[in-house]
Order: sequence, then structure tokens, then C-alpha cells
Amino acid sequence: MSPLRPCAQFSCLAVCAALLANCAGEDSQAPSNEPVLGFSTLLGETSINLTTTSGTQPSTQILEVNGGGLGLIDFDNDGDLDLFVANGATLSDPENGPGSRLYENLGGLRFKDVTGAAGIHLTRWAMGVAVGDYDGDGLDDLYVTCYGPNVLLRNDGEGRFADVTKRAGVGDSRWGTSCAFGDIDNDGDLDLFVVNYLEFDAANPPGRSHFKGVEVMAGPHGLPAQHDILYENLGDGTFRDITAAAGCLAAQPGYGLGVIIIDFDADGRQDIFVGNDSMTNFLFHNLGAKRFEERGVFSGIAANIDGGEQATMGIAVADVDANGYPDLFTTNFSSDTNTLHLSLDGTFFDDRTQQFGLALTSRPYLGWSCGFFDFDLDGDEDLLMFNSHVYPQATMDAMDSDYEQTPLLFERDGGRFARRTEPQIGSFLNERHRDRAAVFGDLDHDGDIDVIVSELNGPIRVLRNDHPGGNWLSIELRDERETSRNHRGLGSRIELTYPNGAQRRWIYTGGYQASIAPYAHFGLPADVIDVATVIVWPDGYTQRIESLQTKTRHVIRRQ
Amino acid sequence: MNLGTLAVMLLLMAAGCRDQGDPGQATADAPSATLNPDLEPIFALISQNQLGLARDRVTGYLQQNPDSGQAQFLLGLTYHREKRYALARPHFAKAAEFSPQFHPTYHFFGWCLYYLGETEQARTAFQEHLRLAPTEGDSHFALGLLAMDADQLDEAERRFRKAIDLQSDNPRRQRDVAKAHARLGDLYIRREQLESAKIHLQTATNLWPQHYAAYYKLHLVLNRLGEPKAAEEAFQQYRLWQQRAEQRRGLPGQGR
Repeated sequence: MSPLRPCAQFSCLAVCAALLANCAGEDSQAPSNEPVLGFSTLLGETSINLTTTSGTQPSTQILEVNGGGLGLIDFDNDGDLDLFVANGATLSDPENGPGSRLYENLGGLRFKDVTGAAGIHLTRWAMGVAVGDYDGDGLDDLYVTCYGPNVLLRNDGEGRFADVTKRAGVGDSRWGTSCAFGDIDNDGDLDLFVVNYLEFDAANPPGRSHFKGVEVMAGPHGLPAQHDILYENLGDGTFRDITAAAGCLAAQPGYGLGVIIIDFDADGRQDIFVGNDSMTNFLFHNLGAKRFEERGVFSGIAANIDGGEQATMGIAVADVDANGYPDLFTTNFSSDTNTLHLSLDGTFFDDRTQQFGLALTSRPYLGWSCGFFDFDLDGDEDLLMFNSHVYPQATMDAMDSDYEQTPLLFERDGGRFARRTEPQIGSFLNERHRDRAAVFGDLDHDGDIDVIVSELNGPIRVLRNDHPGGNWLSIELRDERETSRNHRGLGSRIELTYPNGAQRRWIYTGGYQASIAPYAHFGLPADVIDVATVIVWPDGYTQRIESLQTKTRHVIRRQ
Repeated sequence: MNLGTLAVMLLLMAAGCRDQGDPGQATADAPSATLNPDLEPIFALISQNQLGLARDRVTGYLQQNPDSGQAQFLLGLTYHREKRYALARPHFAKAAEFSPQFHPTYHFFGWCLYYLGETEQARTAFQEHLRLAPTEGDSHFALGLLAMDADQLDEAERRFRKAIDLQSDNPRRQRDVAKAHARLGDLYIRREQLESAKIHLQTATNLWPQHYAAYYKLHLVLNRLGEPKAAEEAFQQYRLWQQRAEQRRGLPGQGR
């Protein structure tokens, strides 16, 4: 473990805020009031020298196209975000790939491979990552979905992880994709939702299919879909499968690829959204008492504006229309549009993709991970998504979509999003890749949001946000009550207000096979020097803080 | 088939209309455009969905007549019918270059660009089509969709209503009128005027009972209006007609 660095230490004040103003270290530059959008691509200098494995390149079977997930985890509790990479394997030997990796953040966007030292030996074909403190010991643990039995890795606090899957009872052997922790029964510990994709036999893979007249790999249609799993945390280090009892089997099996757990209707109960491939999405509305009702179609979030079933991959959450409820952006297949569902009142959703300028422009793209973040620190959230086709045969001529694709960066511009393509945004964002999972967080503690993105059978790239220093604030939650084991407050809502403005964030870690930074980050207008804050914890308990200083990383403890 | 004029040519444009995901045979009259008689057999092949054969024939024709805008149009049309818009695009562009007064090109070019996500160029193409054929309701409809994408609701409403006005008296264009009503439903949902949305969506389903997208929107509106029984009925109609449309198209065996 690295020693605690000064700018990563927190002291508890009246509101337990750690004031780390201008703790940007050697990367700090003169503040600017101008919104700036731009990223530098870091490769070798980060020391993440991994070429991911996901079967062969080019892909021949559907198992090979999803790529491995990413998770940001402060495993050593030193205040910065380390990185877990779920790595794949090959069809001929799905149990024995090159192995997933854990990288320690050394600061300055340099990382060190500590997989061996951490005792992690996961060579199975890994897919998704969920980060959460399942046993409430104050240390974040890792849950990794696989093609084959999933794995729970317990963080022992000494820099090592132990495979506790068997004891915990969470080693489902179906093809898991995304997964997420959340306290679905408000008992203070983190439950677990696992999304499964489909039945696939690597030893006897399916035949071929056709798409737009081109012979391609088979699936998902024609291959049996799989039910997802809801595990209840029993509080003693074990989980119980309550999928059926909770009502989650009422939905038909789905080709699940993405998941998030948040409280959509602000009723103090965590709901679950599952993004499915080539079929309707699920919204498991939490009825309380560990019961759910699938309301995707009823609510309007299951399909697009025309009732079209989409191929949902990435999921991003933001209060786009500032009405207090979380809106959902999902990435989809090519020759379709991505979709922005606005939450109208917590119960009903409406497809407003066109209204916000995100519809037709996405038709040639096939999207994966995505995120709403205020990259340019101007007080509103922008949108970044990563793209690439699943079929190596994809070309514009053959499928109206290329195999390798550029990411899409949209800047929030008043009531719309405007695509940015100028050279200043960074060469990476104008180059074509086979990008898949991505995670977002302030990796170098300079106040802006950086990105790590994984390329299918390619490198892990760090995109350093090159903002010269605007106004910002971040809030990390701590629930250290004896009765709570959700110590990061996953599922909380944080509302900021300041003269002429208000913003809202949700603390969640799901998405597309990824676990993003478990804190809220806000860009702010230049003239804001402090903000009032309301925190609504997952169980609905509300905590108010009259003043928080900007340009500061705050840690707020539940009172 | 009398192809002295292209009165039926625009009937094919429904293939490009995303509104329902249910492209079918054309049903309507349209402003005339004269097609070279030598190309009539090729157009007949396209109408019969013999697209590969049509492509071979028109390619051969273009070898002898490389500057034929109408032949380029037909070649583009073969790809358009297959929803391979990137392949169709250069042929429509050449058609417009070689035969700038042949108005059907602009209509199909517009849909082609629309599906490729090139909204500004699509708008230009539809506007050019309306300059040459101002009574073509479907180009107004397309411009309405582009206005919706640009969040220009007043312009969208004007276009959809124009599309309705131009086609409502034509019994062969009731499906197109239904589509415009369904989009007016979208527009009123966007404006939070749910009762108006309900009226337009019900009109759409009355005019074209197979319009499953309209039923889907209607069920959402009815749920929001607190009419769960009617919403459920609309949803069942959506499921019924969506599944029938899938059966007509042929479900993917092992694919997408």
C-alpha cells in the first residue's frame, strides 16, 4: 500500500468535510473561467501495460464481443481511486486467460500492477465489476461476473483479497455481465444484483446468422436468455438468492447487459433498472418488504418512443431536466438511436432523445459505456459515450456503421447537447477504436473528471481531463453508524444549491460492466464560493449542510 | 404497369419511413415524374423486390449510359429498399447531379441521409423535393420529423399538419395521414398536452389499426391520464400488431 499522501487525508469538521482546496499538486494550473473540454490520452506513461483479452480478434462468437469491465476501487483506503480490470480469455480455454488485474493508483496518473501482491488469481473469463463493502468492514470489496462462476473477492485491509465466493453463496455459473451493489431492503447492508446474458456453450458455439445481408456471428436471438439474480445480504458474510421471492422472476428472462440501482421515485427504496439487449428493458420497482414489481412497460422506460425494443448497453444517470428525478440515458445498436428517458415524476418516463439533440446523430454508432459528468466544470453535465460495432464485418457500406468508431462527446449547451469534434477535445476522441467499458472519476485529484476506457482486445487508456482549473466540488459520503454497512452511502441523492443554481447527483456504481467513482462531482459557475447541500441517504433520511466550500473534496458523514 | 409517369414511384418511399417499422407497398399518388422507358423494366423489378436482378440490370445500363441520372436513382433505390443507406447515398447524389429536375431523387436521398444521421443534408434534400413537387405530403412529414429532432415544435406541427392536409382526401394515403397524427401525438406529449396527444393517437389508430407504435404511445398517455383499462387495451393492440409485423418481416433465427 502506498502511504497516505497529504492531499488524500481527511479531517472531520463539523460536517465532516475534508477541505482540500487547490490540492492539485504538480498538475495545478492557473484557474480559468472558460469552459474547456479536452482530454489527453495516456498510455505507456500510466504503466497500465495491459492488452485486454476477449477471445480472438476479430471476434467470431457473441461471447467475445462484450469485452471486460472496469472498476474504480480505493482498495488501500489512501483516498485515491485504484483500478480493477476484468479480463477475458479465449473460446478454447475460457477458464484460463491471462487474468484480471488490479492497479494501484500511485498519484500523477501513474499506476502499479499489484495483482499478485493482492493475491488475486482470477483467470476465468471475467466480464463485469461491482465495487462495494459487502461485509461492512470499511473496505471496498470486488464482485466480478464471469462466463462461468462469478467471484466475490473480500478486501482484507492489508492489501490482499480473498476469494470468498463459496462461503458467500454468490458463485452463480451462468454468463454474468453487469452487476451492482445497493441496499434494496434498507437494512443497512449492501445487497447485490447480477445481470445474466444468455446460454452459450463455448465448446459447441452456435452457427452463423445474418445482419443486413452479411453473414455474422449468432445471437442474441435464437440463444436462450437468462434470468437475472437478486441476492439479499444476510449480514453475516453470506447472501441468499431472493430473485423469485422478490418478484424478479415475474419478468421474462432477458439478454441483460447493464444495471443500475437507485431510487427512481424518491420513496426511500432502491429500484433496479436492467438494460437488455434486443428486447424491452426492466424496471424493478421496489415495493418494500423485499418485493419488486416489474414496471418497465408501464412506466415507459422499457422501449423507445415508438415502442421499439432496443439493444441497451451503457447506462448513465443525470437530472437532465432539473425536475429532481433521475433521468436515464442508454446507448444502443447501430441504425437505431441512443435514448434519453426523462423521468416525469418518478413513475413515468418519456423518450426525449430528440428534444435534447441526442437522437439522429447517433444512428451510425453502436454504443457501450457512457457517463454524464461536468467535464468542463461549467455547472452542467456533459455526456461522453464509447462506441464500436459488435460485428467485425461492419463497414458503412455493409451495415451503415463501421466496426471501429469514435467516441461521442456532447457538451451541454442550454436546453440541448451539442456534439464536440474539434481537435481541442483530444485526438483520442476523434480516432476510431473498439472501446467498451469505461469508468469516470477524478484520478489525479485536480478537480476534474478523468476517464479510463478499455478497448476490446486492445489497451487500457487513461484520458486525462486537461481542464486548466475551474470551479468544482466533490462529495464522498460516509455512513459509519454501527447499524450501517453501506458506508459509502450507495443509493444516496445529493442536492447542491447556490445563487441562481442547483444541481443533483446520485451515488451509484452500476452501468455497463463497470463501477464508477462512488462519489458525487460537481462543476460550478466561477463565481460560486460555497453551496448549501442536502443529502438524502438511501433510506430517505435527510441531512442538510448550510455551507460547503468549493474547489474542495468533501467527505460528509451521516449524522 | 404504366410507367410513363412515376405516379407510383413515390409509393416506394414508405420503405424509408421509420415511423412504424412496417414498410409496405406504396399506396398513393404522387406528383408525376417521367421515367425513361428503357428503365421501366428495371423499376418493375424493384417494385417486385427483385433487387439483385434490378441491380445487375441497372449496372449494365449505366455501363452504356454513365451519365443517366435516372439509372443512378434506380441503383440507389435498390440499396435503399434493403436499408443499406450508405451504399444508396452516392447514387442518389449522382442522380441529383445528372438529373437535377427529377424530383423523386431528392425524396429518397432525404430519407437516406436521415437514416445516416445527417440531418442538415436531409433537410436540404427534402426542401429541394418540395420545391420541385410542393404537394408531396411525405416530404413535409419528413421535415416535421427533422424539426422534432431539432426541438422546433411549432415548425414540426406546421409540417405534420401540412402532410395531413395534402393527403387526407386520398384514400390510398390514410396510412401516411395516420403517421402524421401519431407524430402530432408525440408533439403534444412533448408539450405536456396529454388530452390532445390522446386524440391524435386515437385518430392514428383509427385510420391505420396496424399502427403499433401509435398504440404504444397511446397506452403511455392513457396510463398517465389515469385510464388503466384503456391503457391496457391499447397495449394489447400494440403487442398484437407488433408481433404480426415481426412475423411478416421474419424473426431473426439467431441474430438481430
